[in-house]
Amino acid sequence: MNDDNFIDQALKEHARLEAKDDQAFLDQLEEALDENQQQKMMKHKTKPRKGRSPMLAVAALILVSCAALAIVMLNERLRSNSNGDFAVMEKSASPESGAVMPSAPIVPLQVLAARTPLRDQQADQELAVLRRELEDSIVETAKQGPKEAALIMPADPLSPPKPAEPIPLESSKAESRAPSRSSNKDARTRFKDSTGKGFGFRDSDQTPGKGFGRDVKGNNGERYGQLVETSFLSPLQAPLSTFSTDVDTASYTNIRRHVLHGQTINPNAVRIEEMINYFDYSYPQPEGEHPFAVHTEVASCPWNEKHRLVKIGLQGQRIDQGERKAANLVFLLDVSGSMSNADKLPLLVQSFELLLKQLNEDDRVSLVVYAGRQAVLLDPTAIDEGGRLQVSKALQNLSAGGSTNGAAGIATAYELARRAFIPGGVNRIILATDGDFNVGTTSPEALLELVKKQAEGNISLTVLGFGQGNLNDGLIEKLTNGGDGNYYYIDSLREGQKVFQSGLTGTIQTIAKDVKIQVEFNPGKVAHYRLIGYANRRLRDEDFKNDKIDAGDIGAGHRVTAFYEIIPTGVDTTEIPDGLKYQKEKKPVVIPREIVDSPEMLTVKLRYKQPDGDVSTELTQTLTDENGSWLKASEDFRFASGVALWGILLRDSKHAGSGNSELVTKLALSGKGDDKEGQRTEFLDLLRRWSARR
Amino acid sequence: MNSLAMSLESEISPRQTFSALASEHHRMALLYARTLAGEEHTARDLTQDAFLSAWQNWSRFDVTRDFSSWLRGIIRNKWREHCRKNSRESAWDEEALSRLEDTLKEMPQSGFFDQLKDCLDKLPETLLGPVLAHYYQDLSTAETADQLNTSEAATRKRLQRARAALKTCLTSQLSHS
Repeated sequence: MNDDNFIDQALKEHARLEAKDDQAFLDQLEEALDENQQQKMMKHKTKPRKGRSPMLAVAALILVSCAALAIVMLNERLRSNSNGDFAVMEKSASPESGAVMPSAPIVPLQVLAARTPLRDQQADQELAVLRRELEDSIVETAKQGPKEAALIMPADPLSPPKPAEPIPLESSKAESRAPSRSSNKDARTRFKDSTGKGFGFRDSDQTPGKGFGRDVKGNNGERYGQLVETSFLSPLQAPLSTFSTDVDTASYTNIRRHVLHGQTINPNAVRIEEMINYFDYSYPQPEGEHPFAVHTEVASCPWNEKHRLVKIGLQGQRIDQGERKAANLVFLLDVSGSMSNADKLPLLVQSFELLLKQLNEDDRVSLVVYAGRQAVLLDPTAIDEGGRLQVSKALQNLSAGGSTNGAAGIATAYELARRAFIPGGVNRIILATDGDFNVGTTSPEALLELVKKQAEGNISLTVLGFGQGNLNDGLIEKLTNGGDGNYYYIDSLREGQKVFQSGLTGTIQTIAKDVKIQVEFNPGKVAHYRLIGYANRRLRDEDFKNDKIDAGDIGAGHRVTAFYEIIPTGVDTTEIPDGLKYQKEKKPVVIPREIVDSPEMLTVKLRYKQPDGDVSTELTQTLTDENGSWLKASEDFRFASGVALWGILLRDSKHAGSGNSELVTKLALSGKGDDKEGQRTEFLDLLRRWSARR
Repeated sequence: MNSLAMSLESEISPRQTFSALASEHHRMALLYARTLAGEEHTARDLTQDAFLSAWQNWSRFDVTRDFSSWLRGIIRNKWREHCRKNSRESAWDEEALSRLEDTLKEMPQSGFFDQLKDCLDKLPETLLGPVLAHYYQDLSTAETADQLNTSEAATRKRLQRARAALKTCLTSQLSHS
């Protein structure tokens, strides 16, 4: 060992952050210092020193009185605007004290009082956020009906907060800089570059470690992983396109919340695949041996008539509630101070009550809460009548307070899940949080390692994101990506119903794991292609057949839809935004392969493993283009392409062509169909609101 | 003027001073811990613990001493403790540790990474190329060699020469300043 190691590490560190602060480290340190200071104060409280100045006691008394006054005033304000929803907040009062008090305003005051020097600079900004959250919850509460209100679409706020200014993204240098190699072998974040040579990291994986990258702060301090979309690729250079499936829907729900609140949408919050996959499509159920069916469709591209648009849809087998496997569920609930708002803990309790109703005596539920420290509220309990009551009571007694030690909570939850493990059944942690993992020395990388390791032992992870203000979307997404998990964002009881009532079997029961899709394009028909969305789901081509490489899971009845925009051969490609600043394609690359004459446009290959299997099965399907127009395509095609286009517009993509909000509306209207669930009508309403504010 | 000097001249609370010092020194402390531990996760834990210990013993810190070397001393002790607890053999013997300490004393502590960048700019093209490819484009030495049309052994040699040149540059920058 010599000093060379030091310079080696220095270069790696410089490549990671250049001269900037490691803010995550500093934040963690401040939390640790806070905790240390609080412990000291506690000791002082229990051992009063002799001769301490009485002035201190007087000052403390004044402070307490001010805080109490503020609480009473806020309480009055809330009461004057509240209805049934607020009753849930009242139940969240401290069980020890038995006092009936709204916990929401208390915590922010405590948090602000304990504000430390490094964060003083942010205090004003955060105070504004807290105020806005409080106002939002008041407005929401006032507008909605007592119980039923949450079941209908949230109403327009009376006086929506001013749209926040978009936060500038990280510098383009950050995007292009690759991180140090480290030990990251997660193929999902690695991808082949456009020349087919070499591999790099893109997407949010800008830092060394295990795929936790530079997050981009969005509205209200929410953090999003940075997404980099693909440009058009030529099948002569990259004949294969490989990606992992994604059944998450959180991005759409999160965007819905932003639109309803009149907030600016951070482009990195827009994961187009999650928007498309939020909606139900009428794909036929699979027949035969495989647990899902592949459906393909091609038509003209609505936002560029010269291009073609290919839709690839997977439909997972539905499983009736009666045939569902026994479930061992560990509810891991974030009860930190930041969860006290009405759109967080109370909504979480309501949503879990819905889930509880669907469970039976074969199922087990455990309950772990975490804040400054983690605690097991309920050991694995069978959901017979007594058990149901026990869980329900424990849920009703929850209260929020303290800072988040997500890491310790997760470790405890896995321990419980392992203890009550049901072989061949569903073993799943359901983590509900606003994603504010901000205490403890455990790094996000270590957290992901833990989640991955447990997923290998057949304990998967579902994360429910709640609330606004400090949602760490990027972190949650990466945890669930790594943990064979799924990620939902719950913004209303209606969404809770979608996830836990109508879609429960899909949410908890996996029918196939490590589902990968690979498309081979025929260079005789396709000049260039582009995968829309799935920015952080791309896989290396050779990993398609590598069963050791992890990919997404599919739950019962889940659907996955992906779009490729195709530039057919013979179409002028000089105007393709190639996305590269320093490289221009000189001449078409001549490859030493003969192009086989085939009418087919592409072949879709799909690999999956049985939920408890280790070896993949492969499915293949070809698609031939009949040159149809999108006007004559299926309703699902038109609607889903409208959703994709909206995502493209929200991301400010250079690939929007002639697309605009009018075209999105046209596509969505023409593809609305029966819309029994009202999802598509809601989409149109969101679109109207968004267009009106532009 | 550094954070410590500022705190001496104004009425800043010890906690504020400490936070400012943490801001100023955390990257170098992390870098040092990573050099000892060889991996990120342990290094972060060690450094967090070291800062916490430093804060708990703040009253014992002699303000006339150099904060960074005091902190490195704590990190070293934490590292030894970590190795003992985990029955782990440290690749650094006492002699190597003291040599590293001597080198670090010759390096700029504040603005280290800015100076590193300046030094990078001064590297000749033959050395800069491998450094950019290996560290900044995340290529392995084999991939770097491939990109530069050279052998892997030659690439490793060039990287080593580049690091030695950077070390010389960094130490001479301090003596100039």
